[in-house]
Amino acid sequence: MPKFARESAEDIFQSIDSLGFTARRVSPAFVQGRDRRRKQGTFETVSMQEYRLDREFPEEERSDEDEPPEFRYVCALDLLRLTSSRYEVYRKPPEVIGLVGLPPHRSSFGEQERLRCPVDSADAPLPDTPAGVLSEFLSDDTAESRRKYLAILAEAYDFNPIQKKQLEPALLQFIESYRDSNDPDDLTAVGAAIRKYVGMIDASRVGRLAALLESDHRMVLPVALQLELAKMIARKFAAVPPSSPDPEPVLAERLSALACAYLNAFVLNDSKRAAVAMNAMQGLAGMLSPKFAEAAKQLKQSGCTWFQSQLHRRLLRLIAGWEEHISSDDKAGLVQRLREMTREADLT
Amino acid sequence: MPAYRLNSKGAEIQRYDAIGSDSSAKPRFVTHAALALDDTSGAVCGATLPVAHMKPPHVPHGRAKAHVFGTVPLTVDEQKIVSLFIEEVEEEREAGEKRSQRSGLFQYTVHPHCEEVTESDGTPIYRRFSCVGYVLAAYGEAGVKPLDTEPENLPEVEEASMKMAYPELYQHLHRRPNAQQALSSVGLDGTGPWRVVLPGYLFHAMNRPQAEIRSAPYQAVEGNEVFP
Repeated sequence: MPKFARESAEDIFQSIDSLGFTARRVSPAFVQGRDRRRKQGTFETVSMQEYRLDREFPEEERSDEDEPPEFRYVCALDLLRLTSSRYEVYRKPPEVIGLVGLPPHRSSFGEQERLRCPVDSADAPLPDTPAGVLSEFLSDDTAESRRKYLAILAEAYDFNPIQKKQLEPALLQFIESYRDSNDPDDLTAVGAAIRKYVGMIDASRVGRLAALLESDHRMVLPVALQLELAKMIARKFAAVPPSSPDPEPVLAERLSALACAYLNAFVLNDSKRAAVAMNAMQGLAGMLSPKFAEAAKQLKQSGCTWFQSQLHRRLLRLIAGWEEHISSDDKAGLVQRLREMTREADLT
Repeated sequence: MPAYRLNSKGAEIQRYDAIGSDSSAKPRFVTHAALALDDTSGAVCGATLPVAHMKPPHVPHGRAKAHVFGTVPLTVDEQKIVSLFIEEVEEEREAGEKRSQRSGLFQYTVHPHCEEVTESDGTPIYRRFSCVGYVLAAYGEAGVKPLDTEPENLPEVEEASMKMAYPELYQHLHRRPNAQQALSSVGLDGTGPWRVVLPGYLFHAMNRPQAEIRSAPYQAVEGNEVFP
């Protein structure tokens, strides 16, 4: 993903100046704000400084068609918001007051806005390099809410092989720690961690994911995470074909159990569960697992023709992708096996 | 023809029809495309509808104003496939949104209109879309390809039109201290023109007989960013 370095608060305030606005401190005293980072059930309190955008617009500037004051105001406001959104403290909508110099009828933007920006040193800006993300993610001193955000951030960064070796076990531990959470924000972070973790690991180590699909774990993996896991297993084997058929029988067994739990006409009407089943089937096919045939048989009995034809279409895509990746003769047999499995499943 | 501009009379919109929102600055210039989430009867121009979409940063999620709409129409089975696509993307979109809010890492991309972000061994970890890319990818999963998106077959778009098509994105990125890098991160390198898929093209692509929509991708031409 193309990335760019995030700007410092000073850079941002300078850009606001260049738009002709001044981000003024509203009052000399700090105000108190609540931090979203909860520790032991309580909110942390941080100091914040209120800012507002100020600007007098002379009459002649108001007719500037290319960059009318309203446009520049919105740009400046976005920049100011960026400063506050770096932190986790901003909770309530900004307080809006009148924009000096603009008659009310000119624009809905004709207002001033006041934003609160934290000044507490504990609210350090987020890291913007892979090394920074990794170091904070691994640190025992990192607040858990921040670690969750770092898991989301880590997904978009490219780590070097040494960093990956450090990140992999930490991500797995993070996934195991939060897999039972019913907080949607936690699930988003765990989902990102699953995608990054499975994306990074060598295909030969995918088998360890079987532990996450244990049916006798104290809580069933939330459906949203089942989907991320099944999807990533399917994607891993689509990108890296197995070296031989059925390389991870335990994982295949659990993936098959997952697919079969959902492969009936009633359940497949639920699109999330249908997506889990679809990706689990793709994963089984990608592993060239004999479990695929069993699951395909159950699918045919369900009578869900739309699901069958979509799975068939995806398997053809998988075959085409493997044909593109695999050039050596010794692996040509794998493509042939996948083709046979697809034909035998008779999903059309 | 299955694409219409909404008026005050009200129209029937089917689940997963494409809806488009006009620019506030230039009439009939379509700036956003989304999938209608529900069947809606009596939808009038400017109605705010529940949608599934890939929104540019700083645009509210979950609802969009409808000024135009296009229908294939999708069969019930195709709708189920689109639902499945939406679910598959949802957690990735949610994480991408959280990243966009607090960092310069956007899941939204203008060009290409959809792409996979992969790890070093080629494993895709998440997908990025433009608004119209998201709609086209959803239809593509269902085997419907209404628009030719090969860059060489797309018209060139000047920066002025890009600003019109992506006003919030430009407002957000243009004044950033490192604006050029920020624009590059959504695929807009240099000063243009660019061959990109604009939302208006989708509605021209759908403004054809149903059989044609399904059989032949439409080749957009200059001016198609506006839907009359």
